[in-house]
Amino acid sequence: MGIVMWRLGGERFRAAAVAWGPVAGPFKIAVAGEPRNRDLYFHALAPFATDLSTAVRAAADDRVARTRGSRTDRLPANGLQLVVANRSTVGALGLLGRYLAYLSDRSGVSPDPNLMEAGKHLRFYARHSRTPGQALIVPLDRLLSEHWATLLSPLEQANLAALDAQIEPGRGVHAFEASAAAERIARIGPEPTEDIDRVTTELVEAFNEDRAGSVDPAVVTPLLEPISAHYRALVEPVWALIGRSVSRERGLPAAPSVAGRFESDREAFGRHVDWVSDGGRYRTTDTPRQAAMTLRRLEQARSRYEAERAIEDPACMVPYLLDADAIRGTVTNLNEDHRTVVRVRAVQRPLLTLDTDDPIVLPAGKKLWWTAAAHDAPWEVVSVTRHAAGSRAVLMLTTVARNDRLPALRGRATFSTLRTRSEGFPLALATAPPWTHQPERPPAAPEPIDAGDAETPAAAVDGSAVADPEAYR
Amino acid sequence: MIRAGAAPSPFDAAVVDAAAAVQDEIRRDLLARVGEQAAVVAAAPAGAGKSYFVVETIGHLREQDLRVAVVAPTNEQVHSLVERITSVFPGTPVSFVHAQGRALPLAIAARPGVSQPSAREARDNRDRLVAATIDKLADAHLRDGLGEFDVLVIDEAYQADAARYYTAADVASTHLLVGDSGQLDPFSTLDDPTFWRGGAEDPLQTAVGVLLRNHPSTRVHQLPITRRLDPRAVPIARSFYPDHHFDAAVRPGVRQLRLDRPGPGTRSFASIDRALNEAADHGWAYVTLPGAAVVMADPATAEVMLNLVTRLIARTARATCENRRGFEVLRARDIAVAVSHNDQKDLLRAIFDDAGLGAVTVDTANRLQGLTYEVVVAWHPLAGATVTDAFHLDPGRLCVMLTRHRQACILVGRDTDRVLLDGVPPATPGYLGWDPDPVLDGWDAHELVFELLGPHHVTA
Repeated sequence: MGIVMWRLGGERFRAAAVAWGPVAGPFKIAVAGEPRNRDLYFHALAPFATDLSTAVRAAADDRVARTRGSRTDRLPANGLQLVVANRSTVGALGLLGRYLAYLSDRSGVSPDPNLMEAGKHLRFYARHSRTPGQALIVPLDRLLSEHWATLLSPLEQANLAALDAQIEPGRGVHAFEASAAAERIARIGPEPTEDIDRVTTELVEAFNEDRAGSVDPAVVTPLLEPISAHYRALVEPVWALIGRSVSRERGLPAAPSVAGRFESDREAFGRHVDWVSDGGRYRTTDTPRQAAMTLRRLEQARSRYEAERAIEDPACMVPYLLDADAIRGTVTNLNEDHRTVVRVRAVQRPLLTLDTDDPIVLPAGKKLWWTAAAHDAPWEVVSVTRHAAGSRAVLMLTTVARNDRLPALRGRATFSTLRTRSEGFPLALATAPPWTHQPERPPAAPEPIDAGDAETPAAAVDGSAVADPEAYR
Repeated sequence: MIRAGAAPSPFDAAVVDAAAAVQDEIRRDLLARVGEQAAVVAAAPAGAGKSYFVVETIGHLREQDLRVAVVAPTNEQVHSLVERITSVFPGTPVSFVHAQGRALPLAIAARPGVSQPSAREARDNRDRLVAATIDKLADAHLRDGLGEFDVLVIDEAYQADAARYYTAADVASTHLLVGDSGQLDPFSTLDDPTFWRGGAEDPLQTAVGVLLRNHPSTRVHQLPITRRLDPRAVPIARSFYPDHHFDAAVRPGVRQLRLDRPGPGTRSFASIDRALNEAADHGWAYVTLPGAAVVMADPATAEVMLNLVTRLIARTARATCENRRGFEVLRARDIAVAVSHNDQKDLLRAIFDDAGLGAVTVDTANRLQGLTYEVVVAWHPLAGATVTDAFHLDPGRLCVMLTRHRQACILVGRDTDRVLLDGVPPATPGYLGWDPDPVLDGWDAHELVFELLGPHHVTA
């Protein structure tokens, strides 16, 4: 499912327009007109919330068994993948989810349950987006900047149109010119530019005047048309850009490690849907235990993802080669029967000689993993000497020989500091926090997240019409 | 009573007495709280003699027959604690519980009283003094349990993060947290390590941080002394501890470093020798190469650092101090080289090994925390950089580099490094509930250090 979102300028917590639908297919759009009005806002978002919740549940219905050891889990066969234009949209959806997931009753009337369910899903997706290598929610700016080497700086890479223009600048156009032009004209969202906001302001003011305080759909719906058209015009080019980008990326072969990472995604997705289906609620903030365990999990995922990327994609290994965290060369000698004394007795520890193309500087004792066995035991640098235009490194395997642990003689091999298996399996922490991690006095209960909705928003300040500008200096 | 003609004490009695009074108060505080869910924090500047204080305190606790667990973040730190405990209290039983492949070095393991039981054995035997890394203690506690302890002592508590403290905290109700607030904070490899910042649940706040946040009435004692640094080093060290007053334990002039005069045929090392003379005379030298934007592991900077150490040894560096009767020749193992990055470490390690200087310690600031050397040569974190960033401005990193030495510290950078701080500091994000700002604090600390090192500047 693709999602495009626009916010009002200066209103980070309200979605002025949400478009959704199958990527490269037609989209639906939800426009509240005045998103700061709770009734209008909820009424507009209801179809989006319903569609999202239905799609999530449908994706989780089809399960397959996964057996590990004596344990069998039923994971979703697939997960609902959300595709958005950029990381800012992920953040915006996370805020929207956080808002909707914790809605309170108003005058004894409960909000639409679909809204709250969709809020929980969006909150899950936004939090899951922190997992390195995940693919449940795909911000295309990040995907493209990881898949393609471009001339853009990290800041410029946040603009999907500029990235797209760099990758496919068009016949006879330099990539720089193409991306500069795209950056000038493209409006991706979710933050509106000033020109968009000026138009939006006029439209919203006219809408509010025309509806004269009414929230009746029969009155409001016909009045929404100008604002809907405004946002539809903004969404259409972004929707096309998303479709084009996804289509291009689908043409690339998936890396071997993708399936393993997506299995972790499916597992997390299944756990989330089960929790929500059973009426589970999420805390607004983590407990110290959740935060500690999440930190370790994310650090392990990151380390593994970085290793898998570099091992599977030679271009991603280049930084490691340049930083002397990896060496690449030809295996010119392999002594499988070499023995060395470990503690008290001599044991088999194969020795390998690697002639590198470029000179390298590595200290003796440094541990390196052969990229074809990065989940296994490391090799240790024994010596590095100059050799022809490059260097000759002698490495010793830190365990006994086995066919799958030894590169072929006269073959090319890469050794790096990257490994795909973590050192230990972290245990689940105790559920009850120790006294050091609990406050002396429990904090006061917070007010509902939508407590201020009934208040009239403060009037906007226009710099050109302020009576006493000094008051704002 | 001072006899006429007796040599004056090398120590500043007022400083030493003030520190002793604080230490006594910490122990009284701790003993008064045994059995309660309570903690005492001892904050120390660099080289305050924390480890010795920890060992002495453990002796006091054991005298009361209390069951004690002592932990630190790294294996090396725990090895050092075991070594010190058995030096100060020979024969005292110490059980080192370790992870696979992390056994004690043989020389320490062979000391009387030292054992290396499994966690289960330590639990079943109710071993009275157990030493482990904070991770291992937590792991053992989660798997088999280690039994209840009376007191948990955490050394280097500002290096330990709240996530690690979470599990280890449960092994005892009463805690003593000892640490150096100027050192590097816990860090993460994540892209967004600030995700929880400001929240009580932040797993990356220090063990001391989470304790004080939840229990603000916990007493924090400040040790007003540095035993490692001499008076010449204190003004720069104070840059990293703005709210903590301390003085050097030794008097001025007690520590001295002497070098042979440069011999004939050493003109090509004139600038290196000038830097060494400056360091020997004043305790500091700031060596700069011509300004240039260079790669992180810059070979030219590495060569200057190698030359500094080679010449230091070639000129027969001799030192005297409060622990020596006369001048003694420095050995390679008395010297350390401090860097920010592993690729700098690898490059230096390889060229130092090639030069026969394998005994010189070369390591990152993270790994040098808690260690002491006579002379330190440090690779300036901003050397040859084109922009500043949070990692390289981190005041903790510079603090560690500039506070490991007893005699002299030589900082090596480039002429353009200071220019990086000429403009306006960068805008930095703010976090509700979290006041420190490592970037701005680092900016201030770096500026002050550049200013204080000005008189010791030598062009390479």
